[in-house]
Amino acid sequence: MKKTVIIAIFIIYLASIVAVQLFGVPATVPQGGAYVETIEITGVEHSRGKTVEERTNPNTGEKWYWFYFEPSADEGGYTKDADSLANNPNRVKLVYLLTPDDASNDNLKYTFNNDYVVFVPETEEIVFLKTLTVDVTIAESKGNINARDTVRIVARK
Amino acid sequence: MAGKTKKKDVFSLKRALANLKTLTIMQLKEKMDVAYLRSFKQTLFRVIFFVLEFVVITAVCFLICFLAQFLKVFDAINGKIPANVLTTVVAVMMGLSVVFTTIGLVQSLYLSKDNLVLLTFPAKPTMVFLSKLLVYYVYELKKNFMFLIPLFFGYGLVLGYPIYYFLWVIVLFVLVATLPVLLSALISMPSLFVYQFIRKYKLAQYLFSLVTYVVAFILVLALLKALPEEINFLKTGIPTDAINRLTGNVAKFFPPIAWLTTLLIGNPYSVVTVNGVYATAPKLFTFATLPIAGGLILSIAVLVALCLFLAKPLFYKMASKPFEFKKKMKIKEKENVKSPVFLSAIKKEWIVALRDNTVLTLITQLVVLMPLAIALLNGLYNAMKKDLTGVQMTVAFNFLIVLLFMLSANIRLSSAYSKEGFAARMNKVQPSAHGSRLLFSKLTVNMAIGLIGIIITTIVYAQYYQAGSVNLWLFGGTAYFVYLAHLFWSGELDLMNPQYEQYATFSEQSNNPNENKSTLLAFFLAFIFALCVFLLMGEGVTKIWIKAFIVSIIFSAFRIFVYFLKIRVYYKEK
Repeated sequence: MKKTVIIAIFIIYLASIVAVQLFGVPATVPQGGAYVETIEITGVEHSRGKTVEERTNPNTGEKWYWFYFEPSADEGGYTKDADSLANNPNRVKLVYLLTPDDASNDNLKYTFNNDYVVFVPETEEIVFLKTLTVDVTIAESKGNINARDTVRIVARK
Repeated sequence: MAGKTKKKDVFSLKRALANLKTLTIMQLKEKMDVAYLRSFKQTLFRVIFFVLEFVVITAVCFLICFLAQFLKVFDAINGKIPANVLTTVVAVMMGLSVVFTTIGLVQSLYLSKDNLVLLTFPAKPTMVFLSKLLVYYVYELKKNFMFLIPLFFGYGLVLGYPIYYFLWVIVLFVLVATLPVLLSALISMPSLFVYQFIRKYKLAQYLFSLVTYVVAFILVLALLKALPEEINFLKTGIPTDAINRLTGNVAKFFPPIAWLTTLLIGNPYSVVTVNGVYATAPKLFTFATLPIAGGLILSIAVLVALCLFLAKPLFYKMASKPFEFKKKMKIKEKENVKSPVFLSAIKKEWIVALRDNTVLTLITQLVVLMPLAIALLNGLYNAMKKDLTGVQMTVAFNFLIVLLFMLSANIRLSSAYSKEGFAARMNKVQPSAHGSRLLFSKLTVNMAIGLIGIIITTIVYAQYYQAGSVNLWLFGGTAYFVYLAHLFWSGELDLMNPQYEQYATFSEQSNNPNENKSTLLAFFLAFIFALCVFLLMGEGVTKIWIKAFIVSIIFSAFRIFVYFLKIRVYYKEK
């Protein structure tokens, strides 16, 4: 058999699996709440009442959230230790809207593109260990891969 | 004096290059259809068609890259398409190229009959050797223009690379296309010895095949066991981490290909500051560009040198070996037993098919791979909780995959008669009472192995398809009759447009028009039958399979009738 024929059959084989997955499997509503259709992040709040500044990237029109990083009293900076996390004042919280209104937020998942950011599930706070720029994605992890939104948060000295 | 020597050197270099060009064009003309070059209109049409083809493939690649970015397939946060993904694609394509080019070069360099003719030309053996590599280089470049270059163009368009990136990609691929050819030329040496060993000791080949089948069987069983209970990407999201782990491992195991990708795309997400704010933008030339480019050129130079020093002497030895002394066979004398003409012809075809590995190839494709592929496919389908449309889709896709496996096995029949070279002309002078039966005997190998393959595949499919045994056997029967129709059609293509000259001179033909037609027919028939089954499935399972079975019987009967009719009307010389 020619290489092109083998590749074509292999691609059709894979495509058939994807096609059944996309068009032959019904979408299911997760248990314990309505199906999340969309997530919209409307702002970022500082957990201690300080202002998180909203800026717009002039080139892309994208919204960015800025806040001033407070250095640690100790020279070592912040770590992921429970004590250090508790004393870290650089904590922010996303403000988001779910549709439909009665959708549950039980299955929301936060992801970051930087390791120096920690999520505290109990309070839904994002704790910054360093001055950095991070993209935060909040997504419905069970029912709908399209229900997601991302913001960029910049911690500056 | 020194001036004269210099002039002489330049002159001989020019002559050598002219020889190389002539030899390469001569072989390309024989192996590729370049008749259009004689007419300006046809050449223009070909160029426009090539450009259109390139644009369409690039548009498809752009769409794939755009969707991958939009659906955040590889990066849940920003939708980035990591360089490792491209590295994986390049690695797979290069791997396939090396395998197929090695097979081609073993034949073309050491075993092709045209060597005896080419070496008598007023050109050095080095030029003949290089011209053979150049022919494969042209194939490789053509293939790159049909997939890898459009892929990198699509990627560049999605990420917004500067205009010179596209020129850079073309320039680099002109160099990169040499790598699989040169590597294959080197690998072809040990491959030749393995090939000769296997040809000499058939038992070793059968044992090796058996071990491979057992390993493939165990692998599929392990994969089926490892499948999760439920596969639903809509629920669990795209397995971004698993994909990135896999592509990351490929990049880790093939660092030269990862470097090559870096050379091609630079840093696609380099951090830049816009008004004091961090952002990402593609940066084509990085500090790594120069060393990698140097490494690429050095690698090509080393490979060329190795080919000239190692592969060329073997080529010369093999090419100049007189064929009269090639075979050292011990022939056991047997008493001649008179058999019926048709039976003798069938026996001869099976012996030839066993000797030239046709039987082994067909068993691998139809009896081993096809059932395993169907088992794995249905294992995956079973892990998906499908609705009614989903179930109907799985039936249609099973039918499509089975047909593609089976019909693609018939493509070889569209050159089966021509492959006999000038000996095929003997078919025309057979007594007319036996002519069609002798020609038909060539098709029996595919017919028998196809039947075994479809029976085993239907039994495997029965483990997954709960629609009653009658429907299952109608499924298998329909597939087999479509297979028969295509089988006779492919044989007829070769009878009506034989390519004896090509095979008599070169032992191969890379662009056989009959094979191309047979390939197109295979895909067309498979898609049409599978689509009809899917669209009519609403009428009821048994009803659709009975209809499909009847249509396939009529279709195959018609093709068998036409096959014998054409032999009678056009083929036999009176």
